[in-house]
Amino acid sequence: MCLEDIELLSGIAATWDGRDRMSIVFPTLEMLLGMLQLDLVGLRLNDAAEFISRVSPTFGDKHDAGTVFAMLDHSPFKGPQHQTTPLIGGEDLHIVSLPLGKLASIGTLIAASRRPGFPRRDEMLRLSTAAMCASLSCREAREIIDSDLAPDVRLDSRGTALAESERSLNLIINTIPAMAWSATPEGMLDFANQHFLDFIGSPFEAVRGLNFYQILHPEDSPHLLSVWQAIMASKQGQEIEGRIKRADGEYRWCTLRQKPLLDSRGRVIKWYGVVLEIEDRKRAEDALKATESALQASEQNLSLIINSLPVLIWSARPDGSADFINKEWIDYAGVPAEKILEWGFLDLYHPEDIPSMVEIWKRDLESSDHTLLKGRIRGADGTYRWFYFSGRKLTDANGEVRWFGVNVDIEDLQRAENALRESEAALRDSERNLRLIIDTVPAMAWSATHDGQLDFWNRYLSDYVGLGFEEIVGDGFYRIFHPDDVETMRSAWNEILTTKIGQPVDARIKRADGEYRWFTLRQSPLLDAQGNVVRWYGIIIDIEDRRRAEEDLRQSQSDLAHVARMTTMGELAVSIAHEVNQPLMAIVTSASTCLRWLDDAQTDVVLAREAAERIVRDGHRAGDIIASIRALARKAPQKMERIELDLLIQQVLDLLKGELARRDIVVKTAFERWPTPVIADVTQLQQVVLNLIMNSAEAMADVTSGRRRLTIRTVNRGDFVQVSILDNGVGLSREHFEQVFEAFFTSKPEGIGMGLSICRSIVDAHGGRIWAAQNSPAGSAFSFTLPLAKEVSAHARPN
Amino acid sequence: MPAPTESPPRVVIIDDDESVRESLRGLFRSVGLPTELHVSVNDYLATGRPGDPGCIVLDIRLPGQSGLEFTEILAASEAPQSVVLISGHVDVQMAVRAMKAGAVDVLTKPVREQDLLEAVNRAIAQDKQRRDLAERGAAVRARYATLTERERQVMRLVAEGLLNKQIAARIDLTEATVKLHRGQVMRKMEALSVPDLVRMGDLLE
Repeated sequence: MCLEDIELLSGIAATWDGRDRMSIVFPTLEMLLGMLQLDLVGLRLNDAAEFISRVSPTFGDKHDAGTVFAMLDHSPFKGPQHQTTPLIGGEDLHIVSLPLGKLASIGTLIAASRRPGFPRRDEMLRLSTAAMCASLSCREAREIIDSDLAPDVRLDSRGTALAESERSLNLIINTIPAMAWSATPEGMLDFANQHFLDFIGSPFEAVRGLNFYQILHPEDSPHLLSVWQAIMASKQGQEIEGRIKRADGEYRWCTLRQKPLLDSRGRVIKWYGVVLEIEDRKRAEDALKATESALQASEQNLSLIINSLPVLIWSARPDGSADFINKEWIDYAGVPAEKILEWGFLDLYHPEDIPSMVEIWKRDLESSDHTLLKGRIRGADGTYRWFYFSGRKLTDANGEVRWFGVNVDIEDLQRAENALRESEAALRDSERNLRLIIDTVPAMAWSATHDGQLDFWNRYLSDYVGLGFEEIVGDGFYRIFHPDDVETMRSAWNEILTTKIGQPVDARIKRADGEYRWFTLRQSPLLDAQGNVVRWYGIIIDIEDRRRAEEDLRQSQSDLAHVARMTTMGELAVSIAHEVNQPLMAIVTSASTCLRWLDDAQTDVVLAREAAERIVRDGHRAGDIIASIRALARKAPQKMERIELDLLIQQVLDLLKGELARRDIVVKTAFERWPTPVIADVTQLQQVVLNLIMNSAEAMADVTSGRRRLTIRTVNRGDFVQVSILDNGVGLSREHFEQVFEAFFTSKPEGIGMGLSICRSIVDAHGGRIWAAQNSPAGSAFSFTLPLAKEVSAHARPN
Repeated sequence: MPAPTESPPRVVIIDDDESVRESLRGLFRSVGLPTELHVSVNDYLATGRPGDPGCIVLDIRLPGQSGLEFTEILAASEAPQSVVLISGHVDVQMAVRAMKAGAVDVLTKPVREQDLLEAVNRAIAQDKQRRDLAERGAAVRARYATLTERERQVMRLVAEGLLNKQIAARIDLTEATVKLHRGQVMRKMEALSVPDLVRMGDLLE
């Protein structure tokens, strides 16, 4: 468009008839005024006093061009100059002054507009072109005036003056940067200026006359020819376009414009024309078209984007009222756009939010280039949803301000956030609660690093032991234990750390007041995916009372066992006394005998010695029996020791020898030939054997005298030794096999039913098992097992 | 018929405890009494010589037949033997039973040597006495066998302490005839006096 304007401006010169320079000045000014939509355009010529001006109707109504001109700086200048002058009424007038001729030797072209941003670059280009054309015309006019030739002379005579004038004109024409030509009334090219020839790269001869067509594009020449003939016929200039071959052989789009020089009778004297290369323009136009269509597509795209984005998009005026909203906004609100635009949107905001939102919006409109708001907007369904408003101020090239923004639905986010906040609060509560629990539960809780260094314990623990953090942290933790338990604790903990498997450990812990109480420590590891210990967690539980209860129970059981033993001993007292009496009897008798043989009357040292030897032997025997009795009658804490099982059984049999003899029971023993060492409490184990033997003895009461047989057998069973006591008594019915070991179960009228129950608890405590079975062919078999003492069972096992 | 002095008295010891047996053997040896050791009553009955003079020392509490039971059986038998019982524990009931069964003594273990020796001596003496008595009874019975029925009748009535006149009235004889029979009885029975004849009558029962 700019190019066309320039063409028109430069074309004005071609229409000049050479008579009056004003005839070229006025059309130029008119053209500029309209073309650039100026408020004021004017020309001051150095050799004329007046200021020739044109004003736009809207400007001329209020202002005087002369006044404006008077205000301008008229000092000589070298190039275009801008200045801005305030006008009455508050508006600014942007004025551009352009020199005509070098150093403004001809005059000055003035253009002014109230439009902000005037002049733009393209406007400057047009103004410069106009100024250049004007200066050329003025110079030619002055030359004509200087040569004292009346402008109309050219029309009236064909004298030398004209030829001279044409010659100088030729000079100008050949130097201006435009392709100019002339043709005869018949359309034969008779002149092409140097610029033209340079463009086509040929001498004039090559285009003279009809050769002119040869430089046209073959596709264009028929059309151009016919148009040209039409032009010549109509004598009316017409703009036509066609491609002309450039010096380099490339066809370039050009526009051809021509105007006839008519004589007074209206006949064509000559055709004048210019050729303007419009390839660039053409290309620019194409590009523009492409740009426009791209722009259009882009606009459509943008519109599509804007209307389909799932956000509410809007723009607002500087006062904050909405002037655009996207489809989403309308769809969301479910009301026509008019009800949202301007200030309609406020009706859709939540009443509670409006005051603060409006306040912020107004503040940001005044003092910020962006705004951020949060508020609820009522949707089509009548419910309010939370939105986040983000707006930005944009000032365009014309200084116009608009606000653009989006409202993003954050309801779900907000809810999620609220939920998160609530869950965080709940988590905090639960943490607090947990912490409270951990600190108030009547148990000590702790945690340790993967390598066993204590790094946390609850208040209960620190309060209980009365030690500070620094005292317990890490390895210091051992100081809470009883000195005797520290080693146990250390080795147990090391084992736990190595195996990564928690196990309860009992130890005494020193209370703040110095008292030791029993605790059990339980711990379990937190493992990662690879099975590595991340941390150890543990609790310490007071088991003092439990321990005491256990001890009490043990004591009760022990007491009961003792009572049962004493009862048995009471029942066996006569037999046992007999057993003790026998050696005593022998001793006393032998002692008397000894004394008799030492008597003077019948001294016999040999026989006295014999008697003394019997005394010694029987004394030892008495001691052994008493030791057995003492063991049975003992009421002492359990004492585990290594004993040979068959020796123990034999001792019991010795003690019961009299009783069994009295009951006419024949005892047979069949001991395992390998040693049968066990770790046991002698008293308890003797009690088991004694009880079982007496049980069997009583079971045989009804068997015919002389046929009562008791067999005691020991058999090695791998890691265990099994003791069986077999009788041929009344036997047990199958359903009583288990029952007999229950407390208070008895088949004897005088029994209390504790004997076998005690046996079972003792055997259990020794890690063994006791059971009853039938003996073959009659009677019962009571058996129990005990673990063999390890070092023997490992290598002395029989095949 | 063996003479009373034919074999010396021995002490039979029945005890299940070897130490006791051995010590008792030693003691009796020191006083010159031979001994015979048995572990049980059955053992004694099987291998012992019950007819020999002497006595038995046995424990009340023995495997198999107890000492007390054996004493009672002996007392009721035709050939009683003198028994001294010893025991670790002797209650009154047991002691009464033992004395009733004719035990010479019941001693508590351990036994005082003096008490035991005295008891054994008494038992041996009793045995001897019983043996003597048994010998006399046999002689009287032999003489008694020589009496006629009438003479035996008169002897029974004399032993009852009746006078000749009373006897005559009882058996319907003359006093003189009774007097004749009486003289015959006294001569045949070798009675020194009427009381002597009365004692002989007792032996016959």
